[in-house]
Amino acid sequence: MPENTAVMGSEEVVKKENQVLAVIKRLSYNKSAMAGMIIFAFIVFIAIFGEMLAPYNYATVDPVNALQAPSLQHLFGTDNLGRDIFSRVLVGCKWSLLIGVGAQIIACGGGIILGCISGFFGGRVDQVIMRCCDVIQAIPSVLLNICLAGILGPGVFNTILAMGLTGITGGTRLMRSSIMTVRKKEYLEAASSINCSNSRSIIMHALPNSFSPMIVSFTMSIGSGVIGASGLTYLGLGVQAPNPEWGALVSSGRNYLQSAPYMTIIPGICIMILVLSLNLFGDGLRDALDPKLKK
Amino acid sequence: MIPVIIAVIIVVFTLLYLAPGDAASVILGSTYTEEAAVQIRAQLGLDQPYIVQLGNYLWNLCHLDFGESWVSGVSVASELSSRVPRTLAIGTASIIITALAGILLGVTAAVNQNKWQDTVSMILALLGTSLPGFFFALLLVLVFSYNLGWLPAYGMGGIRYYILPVLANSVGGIAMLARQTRSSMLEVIHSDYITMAKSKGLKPRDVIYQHTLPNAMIPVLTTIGMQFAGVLGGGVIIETVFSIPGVGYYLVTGCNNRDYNVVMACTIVISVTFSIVMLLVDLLMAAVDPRIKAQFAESALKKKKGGKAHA
Repeated sequence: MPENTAVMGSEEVVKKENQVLAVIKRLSYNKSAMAGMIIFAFIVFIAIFGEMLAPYNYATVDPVNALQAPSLQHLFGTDNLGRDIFSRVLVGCKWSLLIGVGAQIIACGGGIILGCISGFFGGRVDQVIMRCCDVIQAIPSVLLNICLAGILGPGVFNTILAMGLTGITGGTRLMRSSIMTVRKKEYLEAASSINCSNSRSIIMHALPNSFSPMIVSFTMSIGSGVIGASGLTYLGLGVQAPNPEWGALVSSGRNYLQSAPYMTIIPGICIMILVLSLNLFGDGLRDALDPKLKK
Repeated sequence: MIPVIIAVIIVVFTLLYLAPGDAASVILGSTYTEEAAVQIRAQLGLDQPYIVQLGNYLWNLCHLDFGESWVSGVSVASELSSRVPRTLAIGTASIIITALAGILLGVTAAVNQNKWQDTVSMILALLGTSLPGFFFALLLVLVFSYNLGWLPAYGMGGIRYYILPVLANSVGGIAMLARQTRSSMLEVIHSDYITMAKSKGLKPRDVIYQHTLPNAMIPVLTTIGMQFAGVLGGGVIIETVFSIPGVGYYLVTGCNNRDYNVVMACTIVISVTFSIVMLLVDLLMAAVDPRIKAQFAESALKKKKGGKAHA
């Protein structure tokens, strides 16, 4: 990345825009990334308008029509209580996305703060933060998720918190290493020589120039967050029953796997499409942000 | 490694110490009275300060004593002794399959770069990373147990009971490893010594497996080590799907019952296993790559010199 953000004044804005435009342009050449983006945009659209689009109320119980296979009336069939799965998938989209994004906001937010401190100041602070990361990362992340979720108790917010806290160590490492690559650059020396405070140096100069790996990681990790959250829900430690989050839909179908496999398969495929779109987009974004990487 | 393990134990202990939930109410259940609760807390030493409790726990751990389950009253260590082998068996089998299939897929993709084999492998890998493990497990059960009737859907027994869990547990790792192997093979494949090996008339097979792959192995080995965490963690979910009474299933039951002694023991056992595996991977890397060994020797030498200078 060019170091033009250190340039002061109105010029900065213009150049920054160009940089963003250049990335978008490179991204638009990448077919799979565009496909991923379009699918993801569609999913976001469903997340926002799902409740309005749903043909039935997602919570209305109708025992007469229980366990019906997919048909024109019920596009994805009905579940064991006669609720329309299509409506439940539409409404649940919002929750799945919320958990994935929310967890990553906590993880990346914490990671950026700790990583910047660690990478910028170095020395003893860095040592302490990194040793803490070592210890926490010695616990496999799924295991830590399960422990935290078990301690915090079930619920949407607690699931987000459990996933987010676990992700902080990864974010910290990533941010630290990318801050360290710009740490010795002249523009940071220049900033400190004109009496720029440390916090200003970090926020205005170091961070914008080392931010791109974080964006990629954010995109890719939303997907793994959704997968992790659905796993927690399956174990009974995540989102609880009436909420139609996609992981909850999959796990509510497991008892009817033999008689009504569509109850499990359809929400599972939805999760897969969501994660796939994010992976495709993230891959493309990485190539676009760092053209050197691409072979 | 030992300081890390002790630190992990302290972190887990502290987390569960701070967690809401009271041992006495879990043990007593519906027969809860204030006096009985006080008595039980005193009996378990839970009325003592944090440091004393931590010290006791660590001291008991030295004797491999994990305490007793609050719910069933059974010694956790004896439960673990029958559960750990099952979890380890699933973990080891999964990691072996992951390594073999992942490397094979990655090598195929890299050797046939931009041909159909590459596209197919990479699409498979992408699908694999996008698939939640437990969903894949349910799909496997649906196809192989319910529809085809070849394999049992859940429970314990002979080898047949392990096939589906191991497959389900490997798929995510295979996908990650295939992508990593492909990219690190591609980095090596254009080196001069590969051209040299080809030009002296070696068979393409030998070029790949004797010259390219060993040199591309370091990032791959690291990924395999990291995948062991995924396999152990994912195993928790997979064991629950297939009702296999392993450490993971025990952990989940413990979480659901707020039986923190069990949660603590399971977390510690799995984390310690993972730390040991990571150490083995480091040693293996030093054995595979002489450059890393040289680095170790150098840093040891520096430390010696530094120590002398200080003295």
